[in-house]
Amino acid sequence: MAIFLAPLWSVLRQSLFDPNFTLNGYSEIIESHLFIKILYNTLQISLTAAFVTLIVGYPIAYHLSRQSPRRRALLLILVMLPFWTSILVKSYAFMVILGQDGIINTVLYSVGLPKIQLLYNRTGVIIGTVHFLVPFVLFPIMTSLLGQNPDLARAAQIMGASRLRIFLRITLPLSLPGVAAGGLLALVQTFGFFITTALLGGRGDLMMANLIDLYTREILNWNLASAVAVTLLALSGGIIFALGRVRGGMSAFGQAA
Amino acid sequence: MTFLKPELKLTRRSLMAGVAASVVVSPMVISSQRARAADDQLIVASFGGGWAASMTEAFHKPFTEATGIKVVVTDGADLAKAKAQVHAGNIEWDIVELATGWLSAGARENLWEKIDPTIVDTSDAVPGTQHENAIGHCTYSSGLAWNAAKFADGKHPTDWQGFWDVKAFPGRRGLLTRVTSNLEFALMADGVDPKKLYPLDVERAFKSLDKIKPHVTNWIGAMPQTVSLLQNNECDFVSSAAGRIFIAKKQGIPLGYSNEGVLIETGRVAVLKGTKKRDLAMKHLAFMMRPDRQAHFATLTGYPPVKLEGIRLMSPELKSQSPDPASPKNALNDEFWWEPNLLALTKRFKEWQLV
Amino acid sequence: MGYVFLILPTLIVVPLSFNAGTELSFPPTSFSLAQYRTYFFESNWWEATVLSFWVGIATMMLSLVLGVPAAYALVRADFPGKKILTLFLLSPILVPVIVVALGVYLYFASIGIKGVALPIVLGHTLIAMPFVVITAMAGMQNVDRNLEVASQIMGAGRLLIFYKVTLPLLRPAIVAGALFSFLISFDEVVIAYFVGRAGFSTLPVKMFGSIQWEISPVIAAISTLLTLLSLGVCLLVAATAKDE
Repeated sequence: MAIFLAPLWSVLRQSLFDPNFTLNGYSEIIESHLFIKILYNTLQISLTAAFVTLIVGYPIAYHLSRQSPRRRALLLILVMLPFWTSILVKSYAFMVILGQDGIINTVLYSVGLPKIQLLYNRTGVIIGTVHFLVPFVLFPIMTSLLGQNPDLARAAQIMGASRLRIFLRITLPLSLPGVAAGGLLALVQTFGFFITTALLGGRGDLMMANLIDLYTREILNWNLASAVAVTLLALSGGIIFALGRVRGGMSAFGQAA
Repeated sequence: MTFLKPELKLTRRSLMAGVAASVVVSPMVISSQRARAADDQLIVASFGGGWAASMTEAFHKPFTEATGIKVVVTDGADLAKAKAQVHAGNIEWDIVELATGWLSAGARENLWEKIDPTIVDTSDAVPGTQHENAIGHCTYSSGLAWNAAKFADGKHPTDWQGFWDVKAFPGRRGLLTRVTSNLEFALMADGVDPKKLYPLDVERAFKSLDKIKPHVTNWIGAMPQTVSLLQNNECDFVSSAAGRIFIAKKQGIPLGYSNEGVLIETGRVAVLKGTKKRDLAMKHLAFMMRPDRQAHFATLTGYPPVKLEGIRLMSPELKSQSPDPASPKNALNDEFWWEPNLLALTKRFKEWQLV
Repeated sequence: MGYVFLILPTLIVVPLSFNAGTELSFPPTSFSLAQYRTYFFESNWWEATVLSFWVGIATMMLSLVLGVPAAYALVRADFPGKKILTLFLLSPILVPVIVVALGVYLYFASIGIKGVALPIVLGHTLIAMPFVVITAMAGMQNVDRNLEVASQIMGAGRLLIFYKVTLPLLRPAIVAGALFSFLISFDEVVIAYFVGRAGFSTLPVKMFGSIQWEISPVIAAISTLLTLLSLGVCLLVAATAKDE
């Protein structure tokens, strides 16, 4: 119990005492354009990334849920492989793939299409983040897809519904709690991100976590770092709470867990 | 259950990578070795990596051979940890390698022993490199780099005025996402005498940065990227570090680095306040001031000596590759100016970046 | 398509690890095992791996000792605030990792740096335990409660039932939890860096260590090795999963 509370308590205390009681950290946050902008950035990047992640992840989860357990296990190994690669070398690999002279642009160029800038801008951040997040959303979605009663779809089929209609009217709605849970997991994860933004982003791509790191280690202003951390915590807490209000949201999370 | 296990595994894997992420942008480097206090050994807190290997090769190993005193290089030199040791009175490190800014910040917190002039000879050194709380044993610099395979001489800028001149030298530009050194570059580009940069004219620097901002295609988050961006033709001209370029060139990557308009910083080491081995540590610092040792270090890393005699010992080829601190076109970093201004200017720089 | 997107970077990294020299370069200009040699024989890479291994084992033990009974209580017992406690125990997953890391850092800074590997193990347990709790709870759902009831009728004490009946039935879940907690620790870098002290740099910390100047291609080799290791471990898990 104590080991759970102590660290968070330390953050809270540090954000309020320096060493005497102060609200400087918080007033700094409220008054500063920088924090407002970065908060806006963080929300924008996180929401976009979570959304794209769901779009990319859903078909994979759907495909996985239609496999035999053995094949599924094997495919999951594939899905998990990216996690074993340090982001440092991964950012280099992304350059090889997405760079101006990278694989994709070389292909585009050779078929006569213009090259596109995929890295060192918001697109780069989203691609890097989504790449990292997809496996997170797979499991909750897959859980809710597998938990569906197959008789429902079969009944609909017997009654003449097309595959698309079955998917849109039965499978998709029933899997929404899983989608919500996956989205939540993805969203909260991105709040803690910043290496991806630092390595693949452009000028304006700064997130809250970048600030925490900066203040903690480079400027040694723990008061301010903690205040930013508490703000971030409140933000994710708020989102979790909001999701809990959505019917089935939290239970889906429990289910995913 | 069949898929539950992999699920958890992967969730945890992701968490980790996220955490891992947070470390990358911060300046910390580590080499690992077991450190245990013993009377006849010194513990040096180092940045690790290739740097620690070169420090050991040029300074620590010869010191042990000469004196019999063992030097244990330990990982994770870190200002916050140094502070914790001094304040707790639980000294683990004897000697600490200092990153830029630590001398001044640590001096404010009273973390360093005074250099003992009866043991350590800091004379005949490049002006501005020595301090009462730390020796400087080498200099390093940040400056302008380009892809030498792509740009012949005359086709690339060689100083910051050229970097700012987008008409004369068209190309994609990259700068590191930090306020330190960028303000200096901006001022040099704006025509400020490199020898008279400090106190920095902050307003003028930001105005100058405004001019180059639309032409900077890459804001670079980590130093190693400066090389890979050039190497993979993602960027044409970047600000990088001499030592970084030196290592990459050794590996055959065609890069150019200008010796003009560089910002020179001092590589320093200090003795941690309250160590029981103060005299022994001073003896090692004295050894590190030996010109021949510093010249050896230069051949390994490209970082020139601070001892003028050491500079004379460098091979002509290496000397031609090293920025000259005395050149009127080069500036010497003043971390004591930065120390009280760093927080506010970092904030301002980030704000500026976001607009 | 989705699979390709996920796998492609790994496919690039593997050839990177077979290039000689101290710089990353693609396409590789040579084929050599130099990076692997460096990993196994130089610069204490191997020593860092060993340290990571032991910290991981300790984290695993502690997470199991704390997490499995907690999960048992949460599933079997009924008490007010159970839901909140569950959420609380799982909270480290929901809190941005950087906040957890900062918390652990500040906490150990405030009590002074004591012990050696212990702070790292405690920090890692904090983030690893939720995974043990989750796996154990999920496993518990599969344990037939009637078996416990039956043992109770036959006069067995609660503790005895837990050890003799519940735990063996939970074995697969515990194995999975153990694996996860070990891997969490084995991979963690921020906490290990923050609270670690001289002479204790874990493998991930060392990997991110020299980043200020170089991205050592050794890291590509380590990534490749870890990928292979994870393939092995996953196949193992998949195999045991079939047994159930």
